[in-house]
Amino acid sequence: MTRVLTIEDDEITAKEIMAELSTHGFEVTWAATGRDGLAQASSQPFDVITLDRMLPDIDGLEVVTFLRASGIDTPILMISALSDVDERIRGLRAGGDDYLTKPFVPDEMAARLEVMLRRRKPAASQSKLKVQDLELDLIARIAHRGTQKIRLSPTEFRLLEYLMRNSSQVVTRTMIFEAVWGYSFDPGTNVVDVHVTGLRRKIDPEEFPPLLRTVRGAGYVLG
Amino acid sequence: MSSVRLSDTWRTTTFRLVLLYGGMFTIGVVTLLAVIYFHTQDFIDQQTAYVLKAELRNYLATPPDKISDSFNIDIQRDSRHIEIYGLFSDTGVRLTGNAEKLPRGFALDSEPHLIRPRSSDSWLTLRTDVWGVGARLPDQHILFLGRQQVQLDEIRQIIIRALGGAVLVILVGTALGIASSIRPIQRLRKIQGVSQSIIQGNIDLRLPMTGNQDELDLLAKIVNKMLDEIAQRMNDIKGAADSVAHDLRTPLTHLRTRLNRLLSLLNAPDQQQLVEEAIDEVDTVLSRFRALLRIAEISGSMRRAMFKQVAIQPLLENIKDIYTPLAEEKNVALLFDLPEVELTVMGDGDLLFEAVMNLVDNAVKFASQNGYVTARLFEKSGVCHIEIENNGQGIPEDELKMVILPFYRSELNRHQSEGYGVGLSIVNAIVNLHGFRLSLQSANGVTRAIIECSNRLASENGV
Repeated sequence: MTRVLTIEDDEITAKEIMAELSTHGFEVTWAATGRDGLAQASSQPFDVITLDRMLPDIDGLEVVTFLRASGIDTPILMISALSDVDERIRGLRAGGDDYLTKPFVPDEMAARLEVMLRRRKPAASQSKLKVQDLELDLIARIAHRGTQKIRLSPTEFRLLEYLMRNSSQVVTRTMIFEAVWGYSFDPGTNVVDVHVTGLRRKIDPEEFPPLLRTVRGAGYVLG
Repeated sequence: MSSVRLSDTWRTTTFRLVLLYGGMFTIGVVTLLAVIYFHTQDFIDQQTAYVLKAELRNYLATPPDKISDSFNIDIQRDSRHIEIYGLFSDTGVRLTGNAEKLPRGFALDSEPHLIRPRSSDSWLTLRTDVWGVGARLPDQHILFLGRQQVQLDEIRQIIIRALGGAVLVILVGTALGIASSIRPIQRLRKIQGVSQSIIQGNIDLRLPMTGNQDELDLLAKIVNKMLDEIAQRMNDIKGAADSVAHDLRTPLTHLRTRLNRLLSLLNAPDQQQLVEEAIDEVDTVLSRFRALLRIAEISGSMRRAMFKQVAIQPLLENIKDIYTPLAEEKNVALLFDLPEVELTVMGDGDLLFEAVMNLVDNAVKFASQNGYVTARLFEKSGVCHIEIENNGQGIPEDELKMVILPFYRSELNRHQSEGYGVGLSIVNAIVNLHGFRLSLQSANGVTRAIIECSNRLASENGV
């Protein structure tokens, strides 16, 4: 079972995180202060840590810096109400692996944790990605659904690659926007949906069972 | 910035004081010299009249046959050649003396009269005024005595020279006034530059002080103190905004999460729909709230320190890539007109992307079916322009200026989910942060948003 340490001073938020992550099969330990969080993270092995940026005793940034300095490289998802890009960059620079702005949809957090965990496992240098009968040739940049050949535009290729690398887990619109175009703000419009719809038309022809599903209020999941 | 135009010097206090004192000095000198001149003239006239009358008395007492000799003696004694003597027959023919002829119509009443050479048709070949006195002798001959007013002329010359000196003094004073006005103006220019920069949001800047405690320094000190206060208050407000973000967004998120959990517990489709609608409402509130906070963040951002040269073409290419499918779906032609040469501006690439993306988003949203959206990038007089144009309903004239204002939402779309509102405010905040200029035009259903990325403008504003 995947073990998560949640360092969060707000009890309600912490409970929600714990409830949500439990439904995704995580085992969650809660630390209400930065000091407690540091102690827990240093003494027990965790697979992933969620860390509130604003804590009453030790600042979230200091917690990350300290953990990294003491050689603990557990993936850390920073959570903060500060959405300024500066804050984000500071969080990532201090050693955070990803940054999530409050308020967030719990699904989004779970999705990000899954992606972080997967990133941890060194992906073998593959030349092909495969999800059920969907295959993506990373060198030829061509996809196949069964025997059917699918031509992709560069954007569709990047989008599909991201979805396939994170198959069977929910990826949000913001995550897609970040991964495909490299900008880390909420696009706030339906542009991502239109791209996904376009890709879906190509990889999910009518005669095949649909692979790409929309998760209401959260994002998309492939496979 | 430190160049000083002459027209500015006219307006400085120093220069105006110099001018005032110069004017007062001139009026004083002219008045004084005029008084001296007229009093001297009066005095000399009286003296001349007195001398002439005394001389006339002497000559009237002289026997007629001795007059010629007396004339000679007096003429010889007159080393300055200013005295005129004449003895004429009763018909005016010259008998003896150095006077050529009698001035026409001269009154022989033994009283001194002033003869102006011009008024007496070139009487004598003199230029100066002449005081004359005439009398008829018992033998009906006419005796004329005169004296040229050379002294007065000399005094006039002296006064004119003195006035000339005064003019010189005034000119030198004016020059000094201009010279001493240049430094204050240069300082004012510096203060102006810094103030502009502060207006642009660099609230940490302070007005320069020279340390010599003059009026400008005192003023700068007051303003700086005021800025300290404002900066402090702004920090307080920013802190409060962060707290609001932390305090208010959290319960909203809780609400959303609970609704979400409720949704998973419900089985009846109509109940599910109700909860889904409630979630949508909360999402709307949250996204609007996020956008408002985003504006505050951009406006109060320290990101200027991270500005670097950003190539605009790749940024627009990216936006084209993102919006092409959406435009196709809406059947809107999306045209990008980009130049061959690479254009770069000093700024924050992510923010500029967000700004242009918002403009393109609006343009695609409001373009009419089968309409078009054009993005143009070009350089005009050294300034990079990004222009996004679409056809559609257009923006009413009286709303054009308003839609850019933060938090303004058109009455038209206040109750609609779609609107220019927050999106354009974010664009405006980003443009302001860069010191660029955003303008909107709308005519005949064609709406055009232009970002003028003038780094020159930005640097003048101290960005």
